[in-house]
Amino acid sequence: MIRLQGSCFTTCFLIRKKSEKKSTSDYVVFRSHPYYLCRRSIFSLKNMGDRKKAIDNFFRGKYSRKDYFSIQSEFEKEKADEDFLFELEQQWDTLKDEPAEGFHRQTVWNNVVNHLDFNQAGKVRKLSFLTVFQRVAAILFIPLAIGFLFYVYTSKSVRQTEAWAEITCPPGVRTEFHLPDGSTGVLNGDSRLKYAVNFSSNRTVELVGQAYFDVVKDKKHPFNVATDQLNVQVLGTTFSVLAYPGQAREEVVLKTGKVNVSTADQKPLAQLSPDQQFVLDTENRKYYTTNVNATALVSWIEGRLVFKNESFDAVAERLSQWYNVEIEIADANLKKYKYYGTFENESIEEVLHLLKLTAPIKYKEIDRVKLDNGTFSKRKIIFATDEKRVNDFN
Amino acid sequence: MIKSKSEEELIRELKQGDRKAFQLLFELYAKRIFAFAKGYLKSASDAEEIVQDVFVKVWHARESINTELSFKAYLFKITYNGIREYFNKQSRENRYKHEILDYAIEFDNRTEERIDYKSLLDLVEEKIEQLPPRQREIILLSKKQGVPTKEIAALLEISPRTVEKHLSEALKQLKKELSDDQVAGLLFYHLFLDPKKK
Repeated sequence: MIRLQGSCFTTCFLIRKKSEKKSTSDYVVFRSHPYYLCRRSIFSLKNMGDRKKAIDNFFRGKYSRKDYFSIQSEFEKEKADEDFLFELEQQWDTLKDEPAEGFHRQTVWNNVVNHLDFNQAGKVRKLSFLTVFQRVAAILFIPLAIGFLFYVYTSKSVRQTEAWAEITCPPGVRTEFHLPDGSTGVLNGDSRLKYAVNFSSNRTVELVGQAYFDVVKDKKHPFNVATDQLNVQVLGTTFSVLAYPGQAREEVVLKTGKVNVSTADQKPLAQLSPDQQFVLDTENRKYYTTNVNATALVSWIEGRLVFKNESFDAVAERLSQWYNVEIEIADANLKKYKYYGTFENESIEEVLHLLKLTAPIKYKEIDRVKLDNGTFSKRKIIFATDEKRVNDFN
Repeated sequence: MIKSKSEEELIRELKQGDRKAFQLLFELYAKRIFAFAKGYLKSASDAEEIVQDVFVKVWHARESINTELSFKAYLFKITYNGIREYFNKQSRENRYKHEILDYAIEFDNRTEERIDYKSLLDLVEEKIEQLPPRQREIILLSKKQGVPTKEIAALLEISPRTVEKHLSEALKQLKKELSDDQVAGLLFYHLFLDPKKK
Protein backbone atom coordinates (compact mmCIF):
# COMPACT_ATOMS: atom_id res chain seq x y z
CA MET A 1 0.00 0.00 0.00
CA ILE A 2 1.05 3.48 -0.61
CA ARG A 3 1.98 5.76 2.18
CA LEU A 4 -0.02 8.89 2.55
CA GLN A 5 2.10 11.88 1.87
CA GLY A 6 1.54 15.31 2.95
CA SER A 7 -0.84 18.12 2.94
CA CYS A 8 -4.57 18.29 3.30
CA PHE A 9 -5.21 17.68 -0.33
CA THR A 10 -3.46 14.34 -0.34
CA THR A 11 -5.61 13.01 2.45
CA CYS A 12 -7.66 11.30 -0.16
CA PHE A 13 -6.78 9.00 -2.97
CA LEU A 14 -7.46 5.58 -4.30
CA ILE A 15 -5.50 2.80 -2.75
CA ARG A 16 -3.69 0.91 -5.41
CA LYS A 17 -1.01 -1.64 -5.77
CA LYS A 18 2.61 -0.61 -5.71
CA SER A 19 3.33 -2.21 -9.02
CA GLU A 20 1.02 0.10 -10.88
CA LYS A 21 2.84 2.75 -12.79
CA LYS A 22 1.94 6.34 -13.06
CA SER A 23 -0.21 6.92 -16.07
CA THR A 24 1.10 8.78 -19.04
CA SER A 25 -1.73 10.13 -21.07
CA ASP A 26 -1.69 9.99 -24.83
CA TYR A 27 -1.93 13.72 -25.01
CA VAL A 28 0.93 14.83 -22.88
CA VAL A 29 4.33 13.39 -22.38
CA PHE A 30 6.57 15.30 -20.09
CA ARG A 31 9.55 16.49 -21.98
CA SER A 32 12.15 15.56 -19.46
CA HIS A 33 12.16 14.73 -15.82
CA PRO A 34 13.66 17.36 -13.53
CA TYR A 35 15.66 14.66 -11.86
CA TYR A 36 17.89 14.35 -14.88
CA LEU A 37 18.37 18.05 -14.73
CA CYS A 38 19.36 17.93 -11.14
CA ARG A 39 21.96 15.26 -11.81
CA ARG A 40 23.35 17.43 -14.55
CA SER A 41 23.39 20.49 -12.38
CA ILE A 42 25.73 18.90 -9.86
CA PHE A 43 28.37 18.61 -12.50
CA SER A 44 27.69 22.02 -13.84
CA LEU A 45 28.50 23.59 -10.50
CA LYS A 46 31.83 25.04 -11.38
CA ASN A 47 33.30 25.17 -7.95
CA MET A 48 32.51 25.16 -4.30
CA GLY A 49 31.77 28.86 -4.44
CA ASP A 50 28.80 28.13 -6.66
CA ARG A 51 27.44 25.65 -4.23
CA LYS A 52 27.96 27.96 -1.32
CA LYS A 53 26.01 30.57 -3.26
CA ALA A 54 23.26 28.03 -3.95
CA ILE A 55 23.09 27.19 -0.25
CA ASP A 56 22.90 30.84 0.77
CA ASN A 57 20.35 31.71 -1.89
CA PHE A 58 18.17 28.80 -1.00
CA PHE A 59 18.41 29.47 2.71
CA ARG A 60 17.40 33.09 2.22
CA GLY A 61 14.45 32.06 0.05
CA LYS A 62 15.60 33.69 -3.21
CA TYR A 63 16.88 30.87 -5.33
CA SER A 64 17.02 29.85 -8.96
CA ARG A 65 15.96 26.55 -10.41
CA LYS A 66 19.59 25.56 -10.64
CA ASP A 67 20.10 26.42 -6.95
CA TYR A 68 17.09 24.35 -6.01
CA PHE A 69 18.15 21.24 -7.83
CA SER A 70 21.70 21.44 -6.59
CA ILE A 71 20.41 21.56 -3.00
CA GLN A 72 17.90 18.83 -3.68
CA SER A 73 20.52 16.54 -5.18
CA GLU A 74 22.68 16.99 -2.08
CA PHE A 75 19.87 16.08 0.29
CA GLU A 76 18.99 13.11 -1.88
CA LYS A 77 22.38 11.48 -1.51
CA GLU A 78 22.34 8.41 0.67
CA LYS A 79 25.66 9.49 2.17
CA ALA A 80 26.08 13.22 2.50
CA ASP A 81 28.87 14.93 0.61
CA GLU A 82 31.60 16.00 3.07
CA ASP A 83 32.04 19.47 1.57
CA PHE A 84 28.32 20.09 1.56
CA LEU A 85 28.08 19.08 5.21
CA PHE A 86 31.02 21.30 6.01
CA GLU A 87 29.37 24.31 4.42
CA LEU A 88 26.09 23.62 6.18
CA GLU A 89 27.83 23.28 9.50
CA GLN A 90 29.57 26.60 8.99
CA GLN A 91 26.22 28.17 8.33
CA TRP A 92 24.83 26.45 11.43
CA ASP A 93 27.65 27.89 13.51
CA THR A 94 26.83 31.44 12.45
CA LEU A 95 23.13 31.13 13.29
CA LYS A 96 23.19 31.87 16.99
CA ASP A 97 21.16 35.07 16.99
CA GLU A 98 19.01 34.44 13.97
CA PRO A 99 15.47 35.69 14.62
CA ALA A 100 13.18 32.68 15.01
CA GLU A 101 9.97 34.06 13.64
CA GLY A 102 7.01 31.74 14.05
CA PHE A 103 8.69 29.61 16.69
CA HIS A 104 6.43 28.60 19.60
CA ARG A 105 9.19 27.71 22.00
CA GLN A 106 6.95 26.88 24.94
CA THR A 107 4.59 24.71 22.89
CA VAL A 108 7.48 22.77 21.42
CA TRP A 109 9.01 22.26 24.85
CA ASN A 110 5.64 21.05 26.16
CA ASN A 111 5.47 18.60 23.28
CA VAL A 112 8.94 17.28 24.10
CA VAL A 113 7.93 16.88 27.76
CA ASN A 114 4.68 15.13 26.80
CA HIS A 115 6.47 12.89 24.39
CA LEU A 116 9.04 11.81 26.94
CA ASP A 117 6.36 11.33 29.58
CA PHE A 118 8.27 13.40 32.12
CA ASN A 119 5.24 14.27 34.15
CA GLN A 120 4.26 10.72 34.95
CA ALA A 121 7.35 8.59 34.78
CA GLY A 122 9.19 10.41 37.56
CA LYS A 123 11.45 8.32 39.74
CA VAL A 124 10.25 7.71 43.26
CA ARG A 125 12.79 9.08 45.64
CA LYS A 126 12.81 8.95 49.40
CA LEU A 127 13.01 12.37 50.92
CA SER A 128 13.27 13.33 54.56
CA PHE A 129 10.57 15.56 55.97
CA LEU A 130 12.96 18.46 56.32
CA THR A 131 14.14 18.29 52.75
CA VAL A 132 10.56 18.14 51.61
CA PHE A 133 9.63 21.07 53.80
CA GLN A 134 12.56 23.16 52.64
CA ARG A 135 11.84 22.42 49.04
CA VAL A 136 8.18 23.13 49.37
CA ALA A 137 8.82 26.41 51.13
CA ALA A 138 11.43 27.51 48.67
CA ILE A 139 9.67 26.33 45.63
CA LEU A 140 6.07 27.16 46.40
CA PHE A 141 5.95 30.86 45.98
CA ILE A 142 8.00 31.51 42.88
CA PRO A 143 6.36 28.90 40.66
CA LEU A 144 2.99 30.19 41.74
CA ALA A 145 3.90 33.65 40.61
CA ILE A 146 5.60 32.42 37.46
CA GLY A 147 2.83 29.97 36.86
CA PHE A 148 0.28 32.71 36.95
CA LEU A 149 2.23 34.89 34.53
CA PHE A 150 2.93 31.86 32.41
CA TYR A 151 -0.77 31.09 32.29
CA VAL A 152 -1.60 34.61 31.26
CA TYR A 153 1.01 34.68 28.55
CA THR A 154 0.48 31.24 27.14
CA SER A 155 -3.26 30.90 27.40
CA LYS A 156 -3.08 30.96 23.61
CA SER A 157 -1.00 27.80 23.49
CA VAL A 158 -3.14 26.19 26.17
CA ARG A 159 -6.08 26.66 23.91
CA GLN A 160 -4.06 25.23 21.09
CA THR A 161 -3.66 21.90 22.86
CA GLU A 162 -7.43 21.57 22.85
CA ALA A 163 -7.51 21.92 19.10
CA TRP A 164 -8.71 19.08 16.94
CA ALA A 165 -7.41 17.66 13.72
CA GLU A 166 -9.74 16.05 11.24
CA ILE A 167 -9.19 13.61 8.40
CA THR A 168 -12.00 13.36 5.88
CA CYS A 169 -12.50 10.88 3.09
CA PRO A 170 -15.12 11.54 0.40
CA PRO A 171 -17.48 8.82 -0.87
CA GLY A 172 -16.14 6.09 -3.09
CA VAL A 173 -12.49 6.38 -1.99
CA ARG A 174 -10.26 5.09 0.77
CA THR A 175 -7.62 7.05 2.67
CA GLU A 176 -4.68 5.76 4.61
CA PHE A 177 -3.89 7.79 7.73
CA HIS A 178 -1.05 8.07 10.23
CA LEU A 179 -1.77 9.26 13.74
CA PRO A 180 0.80 11.20 15.80
CA ASP A 181 1.44 8.24 18.13
CA GLY A 182 2.53 6.01 15.25
CA SER A 183 -0.79 4.20 14.90
CA THR A 184 -2.01 3.85 11.35
CA GLY A 185 -5.18 2.88 9.58
CA VAL A 186 -7.47 3.31 6.64
CA LEU A 187 -10.59 5.43 6.39
CA ASN A 188 -13.32 4.09 4.15
CA GLY A 189 -15.41 6.24 1.83
CA ASP A 190 -17.60 9.01 3.22
CA SER A 191 -15.94 8.90 6.64
CA ARG A 192 -14.42 11.33 9.11
CA LEU A 193 -11.87 10.94 11.85
CA LYS A 194 -11.25 13.59 14.49
CA TYR A 195 -8.54 13.67 17.16
CA ALA A 196 -7.09 16.12 19.65
CA VAL A 197 -3.85 17.81 18.67
CA ASN A 198 -2.24 16.64 21.93
CA PHE A 199 -2.95 13.12 20.73
CA SER A 200 0.04 11.34 22.28
CA SER A 201 -1.29 11.92 25.78
CA ASN A 202 -4.96 11.66 24.91
CA ARG A 203 -5.38 8.85 22.43
CA THR A 204 -9.04 9.35 21.56
CA VAL A 205 -10.42 9.53 18.05
CA GLU A 206 -13.96 10.32 17.05
CA LEU A 207 -15.20 8.37 14.08
CA VAL A 208 -18.11 8.92 11.74
CA GLY A 209 -18.21 6.22 9.06
CA GLN A 210 -15.84 3.28 8.78
CA ALA A 211 -12.19 2.94 9.66
CA TYR A 212 -9.57 0.27 10.19
CA PHE A 213 -6.98 0.84 12.91
CA ASP A 214 -3.56 -0.63 13.54
CA VAL A 215 -2.85 0.70 17.01
CA VAL A 216 0.59 1.05 18.53
CA LYS A 217 0.83 -0.38 22.04
CA ASP A 218 1.07 2.13 24.86
CA LYS A 219 -0.03 0.76 28.21
CA LYS A 220 -0.16 4.15 29.82
CA HIS A 221 -2.42 5.64 27.19
CA PRO A 222 -5.29 3.44 26.10
CA PHE A 223 -6.57 4.11 22.60
CA ASN A 224 -10.26 5.00 22.32
CA VAL A 225 -12.52 5.13 19.32
CA ALA A 226 -15.71 7.04 20.03
CA THR A 227 -18.65 6.71 17.66
CA ASP A 228 -22.12 8.10 18.00
CA GLN A 229 -23.25 5.18 20.16
CA LEU A 230 -20.16 3.21 21.11
CA ASN A 231 -16.79 3.53 22.73
CA VAL A 232 -14.09 1.01 21.78
CA GLN A 233 -11.07 0.83 24.05
CA VAL A 234 -7.86 -0.94 23.09
CA LEU A 235 -4.22 -1.16 24.07
CA GLY A 236 -2.61 -2.30 20.85
CA THR A 237 -4.50 -4.23 18.20
CA THR A 238 -5.84 -4.24 14.67
CA PHE A 239 -9.56 -3.79 14.29
CA SER A 240 -12.23 -2.11 12.23
CA VAL A 241 -15.13 0.07 13.32
CA LEU A 242 -18.21 0.90 11.31
CA ALA A 243 -20.61 3.66 12.31
CA TYR A 244 -22.24 5.49 9.42
CA PRO A 245 -24.90 7.97 10.39
CA GLY A 246 -28.33 6.99 9.15
CA GLN A 247 -27.52 3.31 9.19
CA ALA A 248 -29.31 1.15 11.72
CA ARG A 249 -26.13 -0.51 12.97
CA GLU A 250 -22.65 0.02 14.32
CA GLU A 251 -20.02 -2.69 14.10
CA VAL A 252 -16.63 -3.57 15.53
CA VAL A 253 -14.54 -6.31 13.93
CA LEU A 254 -11.40 -7.49 15.70
CA LYS A 255 -8.49 -8.93 13.76
CA THR A 256 -5.80 -9.26 16.43
CA GLY A 257 -5.45 -8.45 20.14
CA LYS A 258 -8.29 -7.52 22.44
CA VAL A 259 -10.78 -4.68 22.58
CA ASN A 260 -13.43 -3.58 25.05
CA VAL A 261 -16.67 -2.29 23.65
CA SER A 262 -18.86 -0.05 25.76
CA THR A 263 -21.64 2.42 25.24
CA ALA A 264 -20.82 6.06 24.59
CA ASP A 265 -21.38 6.69 28.32
CA GLN A 266 -18.91 3.92 29.27
CA LYS A 267 -21.30 1.10 30.17
CA PRO A 268 -19.36 -2.09 29.28
CA LEU A 269 -21.01 -4.24 26.61
CA ALA A 270 -18.50 -6.84 25.41
CA GLN A 271 -14.90 -7.88 25.18
CA LEU A 272 -13.91 -9.19 21.75
CA SER A 273 -11.38 -11.87 20.83
CA PRO A 274 -9.78 -12.10 17.38
CA ASP A 275 -12.21 -13.00 14.57
CA GLN A 276 -15.20 -11.75 16.47
CA GLN A 277 -17.66 -9.10 15.42
CA PHE A 278 -19.74 -6.93 17.68
CA VAL A 279 -22.95 -5.58 16.19
CA LEU A 280 -25.15 -2.92 17.73
CA ASP A 281 -28.63 -2.63 16.30
CA THR A 282 -29.22 1.05 16.94
CA GLU A 283 -32.87 0.89 15.99
CA ASN A 284 -33.91 -1.82 18.42
CA ARG A 285 -31.15 -1.06 20.96
CA LYS A 286 -29.96 -4.68 20.76
CA TYR A 287 -26.43 -6.00 20.45
CA TYR A 288 -24.70 -9.31 19.86
CA THR A 289 -21.27 -10.82 19.24
CA THR A 290 -20.63 -13.36 16.47
CA ASN A 291 -17.67 -15.28 15.12
CA VAL A 292 -16.58 -14.03 11.71
CA ASN A 293 -13.71 -14.14 9.26
CA ALA A 294 -12.11 -10.83 10.19
CA THR A 295 -9.65 -10.86 7.29
CA ALA A 296 -12.51 -10.98 4.81
CA LEU A 297 -14.44 -8.26 6.60
CA VAL A 298 -11.52 -5.86 6.68
CA SER A 299 -10.41 -6.65 3.13
CA TRP A 300 -11.76 -3.27 2.05
CA ILE A 301 -8.58 -1.68 3.36
CA GLU A 302 -6.63 -3.32 0.58
CA GLY A 303 -9.06 -2.11 -2.02
CA ARG A 304 -10.74 -5.52 -2.26
CA LEU A 305 -14.34 -6.38 -1.78
CA VAL A 306 -14.59 -9.86 -0.33
CA PHE A 307 -17.85 -11.69 0.26
CA LYS A 308 -17.90 -14.93 2.19
CA ASN A 309 -21.29 -16.56 2.33
CA GLU A 310 -23.07 -13.24 2.56
CA SER A 311 -26.71 -12.67 1.79
CA PHE A 312 -27.64 -10.53 -1.17
CA ASP A 313 -28.84 -7.62 0.94
CA ALA A 314 -25.53 -7.52 2.81
CA VAL A 315 -23.75 -7.56 -0.56
CA ALA A 316 -25.97 -4.75 -1.79
CA GLU A 317 -25.29 -2.64 1.27
CA ARG A 318 -21.54 -2.97 0.88
CA LEU A 319 -21.66 -2.25 -2.83
CA SER A 320 -23.64 0.88 -2.15
CA GLN A 321 -20.93 2.23 0.20
CA TRP A 322 -18.11 1.05 -1.99
CA TYR A 323 -19.30 2.68 -5.18
CA ASN A 324 -21.34 5.47 -3.60
CA VAL A 325 -24.58 4.40 -5.25
CA GLU A 326 -28.07 3.81 -3.94
CA ILE A 327 -29.27 0.24 -4.23
CA GLU A 328 -32.83 -0.95 -4.07
CA ILE A 329 -33.82 -4.61 -3.90
CA ALA A 330 -37.23 -4.70 -5.53
CA ASP A 331 -37.83 -8.37 -4.86
CA ALA A 332 -37.44 -9.85 -1.35
CA ASN A 333 -36.87 -13.28 -2.89
CA LEU A 334 -33.41 -12.13 -3.97
CA LYS A 335 -32.24 -12.03 -0.38
CA LYS A 336 -32.01 -15.83 -0.27
CA TYR A 337 -28.99 -15.88 -2.59
CA LYS A 338 -25.67 -16.22 -0.83
CA TYR A 339 -22.53 -14.83 -2.36
CA TYR A 340 -18.88 -15.75 -2.28
CA GLY A 341 -16.49 -13.61 -4.22
CA THR A 342 -13.54 -11.30 -4.29
CA PHE A 343 -13.47 -8.14 -6.36
CA GLU A 344 -10.33 -6.15 -6.83
CA ASN A 345 -10.29 -2.80 -8.60
CA GLU A 346 -13.35 -3.73 -10.60
CA SER A 347 -15.73 -1.08 -11.87
CA ILE A 348 -19.30 -1.23 -10.66
CA GLU A 349 -20.41 -2.27 -14.14
CA GLU A 350 -18.14 -5.30 -14.01
CA VAL A 351 -19.34 -6.24 -10.54
CA LEU A 352 -23.00 -5.89 -11.51
CA HIS A 353 -22.39 -7.99 -14.58
CA LEU A 354 -20.82 -10.75 -12.48
CA LEU A 355 -23.65 -10.66 -9.97
CA LYS A 356 -26.09 -11.05 -12.83
CA LEU A 357 -24.21 -14.01 -14.29
CA THR A 358 -24.20 -15.98 -11.05
CA ALA A 359 -27.87 -15.66 -10.12
CA PRO A 360 -31.20 -15.01 -11.88
CA ILE A 361 -30.92 -11.32 -11.23
CA LYS A 362 -31.50 -8.35 -13.47
CA TYR A 363 -30.86 -4.71 -12.70
CA LYS A 364 -31.82 -1.31 -13.91
CA GLU A 365 -29.84 1.89 -13.52
CA ILE A 366 -31.55 5.18 -12.77
CA ASP A 367 -29.51 8.15 -13.85
CA ARG A 368 -28.65 10.93 -11.47
CA VAL A 369 -31.33 13.58 -11.28
CA LYS A 370 -30.98 17.18 -10.26
CA LEU A 371 -32.49 17.80 -6.85
CA ASP A 372 -34.28 20.93 -5.68
CA ASN A 373 -31.22 22.14 -3.80
CA GLY A 374 -29.13 22.10 -6.96
CA THR A 375 -27.11 18.96 -6.17
CA PHE A 376 -27.47 15.65 -7.94
CA SER A 377 -28.92 12.50 -6.49
CA LYS A 378 -26.78 9.39 -6.24
CA ARG A 379 -26.85 6.95 -9.08
CA LYS A 380 -29.46 4.34 -8.26
CA ILE A 381 -29.52 0.66 -9.10
CA ILE A 382 -32.63 -1.47 -8.76
CA PHE A 383 -32.34 -5.26 -8.55
CA ALA A 384 -35.14 -7.62 -9.45
CA THR A 385 -35.57 -11.32 -10.20
CA ASP A 386 -34.97 -12.25 -13.80
CA GLU A 387 -38.01 -14.49 -14.34
CA LYS A 388 -36.71 -15.78 -17.67
CA ARG A 389 -33.65 -17.30 -16.11
CA VAL A 390 -35.04 -18.54 -12.77
CA ASN A 391 -35.39 -22.07 -14.04
CA ASP A 392 -31.76 -22.20 -15.15
CA PHE A 393 -30.72 -21.88 -11.52
CA ASN A 394 -33.05 -24.37 -9.91
CA MET B 1 23.16 35.07 42.42
CA ILE B 2 22.93 31.95 40.36
CA LYS B 3 26.03 31.44 38.35
CA SER B 4 25.25 30.24 34.87
CA LYS B 5 26.58 26.78 34.34
CA SER B 6 28.95 25.98 31.56
CA GLU B 7 27.70 23.89 28.70
CA GLU B 8 30.00 21.04 29.68
CA GLU B 9 28.48 20.95 33.14
CA LEU B 10 25.01 20.91 31.66
CA ILE B 11 25.87 18.02 29.40
CA ARG B 12 27.43 16.09 32.24
CA GLU B 13 24.20 16.58 34.20
CA LEU B 14 22.12 15.65 31.18
CA LYS B 15 24.01 12.37 30.92
CA GLN B 16 22.92 11.65 34.51
CA GLY B 17 19.32 12.23 33.52
CA ASP B 18 18.96 15.75 34.90
CA ARG B 19 15.86 17.30 33.40
CA LYS B 20 16.69 20.83 34.42
CA ALA B 21 19.95 20.62 32.49
CA PHE B 22 18.02 19.19 29.56
CA GLN B 23 15.65 22.13 29.61
CA LEU B 24 18.49 24.64 29.80
CA LEU B 25 20.09 23.02 26.77
CA PHE B 26 16.75 23.29 25.01
CA GLU B 27 16.67 27.01 25.81
CA LEU B 28 20.20 27.34 24.48
CA TYR B 29 19.73 25.57 21.16
CA ALA B 30 16.05 25.33 20.22
CA LYS B 31 15.97 28.66 18.41
CA ARG B 32 19.05 27.88 16.36
CA ILE B 33 17.69 24.49 15.30
CA PHE B 34 14.41 26.11 14.38
CA ALA B 35 16.01 28.87 12.30
CA PHE B 36 18.29 26.41 10.53
CA ALA B 37 15.49 23.95 9.76
CA LYS B 38 13.13 26.69 8.62
CA GLY B 39 15.72 27.95 6.17
CA TYR B 40 15.68 24.62 4.39
CA LEU B 41 12.11 23.46 4.93
CA LYS B 42 10.42 26.86 4.47
CA SER B 43 7.77 25.82 6.95
CA ALA B 44 7.59 26.92 10.58
CA SER B 45 5.54 23.91 11.64
CA ASP B 46 7.93 21.44 9.99
CA ALA B 47 10.84 23.27 11.64
CA GLU B 48 9.12 23.00 15.02
CA GLU B 49 8.74 19.29 14.51
CA ILE B 50 12.44 19.05 13.79
CA VAL B 51 13.21 20.83 17.08
CA GLN B 52 10.94 18.44 18.92
CA ASP B 53 12.40 15.34 17.24
CA VAL B 54 15.96 16.49 17.91
CA PHE B 55 15.41 16.95 21.63
CA VAL B 56 13.47 13.71 21.99
CA LYS B 57 16.42 11.95 20.32
CA VAL B 58 18.95 13.75 22.51
CA TRP B 59 17.10 12.65 25.65
CA HIS B 60 16.95 9.05 24.53
CA ALA B 61 20.62 9.03 23.60
CA ARG B 62 21.76 11.14 26.56
CA GLU B 63 23.85 8.42 28.16
CA SER B 64 25.94 7.88 25.05
CA ILE B 65 26.75 11.54 24.40
CA ASN B 66 30.48 11.99 24.09
CA THR B 67 31.53 14.94 26.23
CA GLU B 68 34.89 15.10 24.47
CA LEU B 69 33.23 16.20 21.25
CA SER B 70 31.36 19.41 20.62
CA PHE B 71 27.71 19.24 21.63
CA LYS B 72 26.90 21.84 19.01
CA ALA B 73 28.37 19.63 16.28
CA TYR B 74 26.46 16.67 17.70
CA LEU B 75 23.19 18.62 17.50
CA PHE B 76 24.06 19.70 13.97
CA LYS B 77 24.26 16.09 12.83
CA ILE B 78 20.91 15.13 14.33
CA THR B 79 19.32 18.28 12.95
CA TYR B 80 20.81 17.71 9.51
CA ASN B 81 19.39 14.18 9.37
CA GLY B 82 15.96 15.42 10.39
CA ILE B 83 16.00 18.19 7.81
CA ARG B 84 17.17 15.81 5.12
CA GLU B 85 14.27 13.44 5.79
CA TYR B 86 11.67 16.23 5.76
CA PHE B 87 13.24 17.92 2.75
CA ASN B 88 13.09 14.75 0.69
CA LYS B 89 9.50 14.18 1.72
CA GLN B 90 8.61 17.73 0.70
CA SER B 91 10.42 17.42 -2.59
CA ARG B 92 8.52 14.23 -3.40
CA GLU B 93 5.29 16.09 -2.68
CA ASN B 94 6.29 19.01 -4.87
CA ARG B 95 7.63 16.96 -7.72
CA TYR B 96 4.48 17.54 -9.79
CA LYS B 97 5.10 21.29 -9.78
CA HIS B 98 8.60 20.82 -11.17
CA GLU B 99 7.19 18.48 -13.79
CA ILE B 100 4.50 20.90 -14.85
CA LEU B 101 7.03 23.74 -15.03
CA ASP B 102 9.35 21.58 -17.03
CA TYR B 103 6.53 20.91 -19.47
CA ALA B 104 5.32 24.50 -19.66
CA ILE B 105 8.58 26.40 -19.84
CA GLU B 106 11.59 26.00 -22.11
CA PHE B 107 14.31 26.45 -19.55
CA ASP B 108 17.63 27.61 -20.90
CA ASN B 109 20.84 28.43 -19.08
CA ARG B 110 19.67 31.94 -18.48
CA THR B 111 16.28 31.08 -17.01
CA GLU B 112 17.73 28.14 -15.11
CA GLU B 113 19.90 30.52 -13.18
CA ARG B 114 17.99 33.75 -13.11
CA ILE B 115 14.37 33.05 -12.39
CA ASP B 116 13.16 33.26 -8.84
CA TYR B 117 12.20 29.61 -8.67
CA LYS B 118 10.36 29.91 -5.37
CA SER B 119 7.99 32.48 -6.89
CA LEU B 120 7.67 30.32 -9.98
CA LEU B 121 6.61 27.31 -7.89
CA ASP B 122 4.08 29.49 -6.09
CA LEU B 123 2.88 30.77 -9.46
CA VAL B 124 2.24 27.23 -10.74
CA GLU B 125 0.27 26.48 -7.63
CA GLU B 126 -1.73 29.67 -8.07
CA LYS B 127 -2.40 28.94 -11.74
CA ILE B 128 -3.54 25.41 -10.93
CA GLU B 129 -5.87 26.91 -8.33
CA GLN B 130 -7.40 29.13 -11.03
CA LEU B 131 -8.19 26.29 -13.44
CA PRO B 132 -11.84 25.25 -13.88
CA PRO B 133 -12.74 22.92 -10.96
CA ARG B 134 -12.86 19.74 -13.02
CA GLN B 135 -9.51 20.38 -14.71
CA ARG B 136 -7.92 21.28 -11.39
CA GLU B 137 -9.26 18.16 -9.73
CA ILE B 138 -8.00 15.95 -12.54
CA ILE B 139 -4.56 17.49 -12.90
CA LEU B 140 -3.96 17.21 -9.14
CA LEU B 141 -5.15 13.61 -8.99
CA SER B 142 -3.01 12.69 -11.96
CA LYS B 143 0.18 14.68 -11.47
CA LYS B 144 0.27 15.25 -7.73
CA GLN B 145 -1.07 11.95 -6.52
CA GLY B 146 -0.13 9.80 -9.47
CA VAL B 147 -3.57 8.22 -9.80
CA PRO B 148 -3.81 6.41 -13.18
CA THR B 149 -6.22 7.77 -15.76
CA LYS B 150 -8.44 4.74 -15.55
CA GLU B 151 -8.86 5.12 -11.80
CA ILE B 152 -9.58 8.83 -12.10
CA ALA B 153 -12.24 7.96 -14.64
CA ALA B 154 -13.82 5.45 -12.23
CA LEU B 155 -13.56 7.87 -9.34
CA LEU B 156 -15.24 10.74 -11.16
CA GLU B 157 -17.59 8.51 -13.11
CA ILE B 158 -16.47 9.80 -16.49
CA SER B 159 -14.72 8.08 -19.37
CA PRO B 160 -10.91 7.77 -19.52
CA ARG B 161 -10.98 9.77 -22.75
CA THR B 162 -12.71 12.63 -20.98
CA VAL B 163 -10.10 12.49 -18.23
CA GLU B 164 -7.34 12.77 -20.80
CA LYS B 165 -9.07 15.62 -22.56
CA HIS B 166 -9.36 17.58 -19.31
CA LEU B 167 -5.76 16.82 -18.50
CA SER B 168 -4.41 17.99 -21.81
CA GLU B 169 -6.55 21.13 -21.68
CA ALA B 170 -5.35 21.89 -18.17
CA LEU B 171 -1.72 21.52 -19.24
CA LYS B 172 -2.25 23.60 -22.35
CA GLN B 173 -3.84 26.31 -20.23
CA LEU B 174 -0.97 26.23 -17.75
CA LYS B 175 1.55 26.46 -20.57
CA LYS B 176 -0.24 29.54 -21.85
CA GLU B 177 -0.43 31.10 -18.40
CA LEU B 178 3.25 30.48 -17.79
CA SER B 179 4.40 31.96 -21.06
CA ASP B 180 7.73 33.72 -21.34
CA ASP B 181 6.28 37.19 -20.77
CA GLN B 182 4.69 36.14 -17.52
CA VAL B 183 7.81 34.46 -16.30
CA ALA B 184 10.10 37.31 -17.33
CA GLY B 185 8.78 39.28 -14.37
CA LEU B 186 10.37 36.77 -12.06
CA LEU B 187 13.94 37.29 -13.24
CA PHE B 188 16.21 38.53 -10.51
CA TYR B 189 19.36 39.91 -11.94
CA HIS B 190 20.19 41.78 -8.80
CA LEU B 191 20.98 38.65 -6.85
CA PHE B 192 23.80 37.80 -9.18
CA LEU B 193 25.35 41.21 -9.44
CA ASP B 194 28.60 41.44 -7.61
CA PRO B 195 28.02 44.20 -5.05
CA LYS B 196 31.68 45.25 -5.18
CA LYS B 197 31.57 45.99 -8.88
CA LYS B 198 28.48 48.12 -8.58
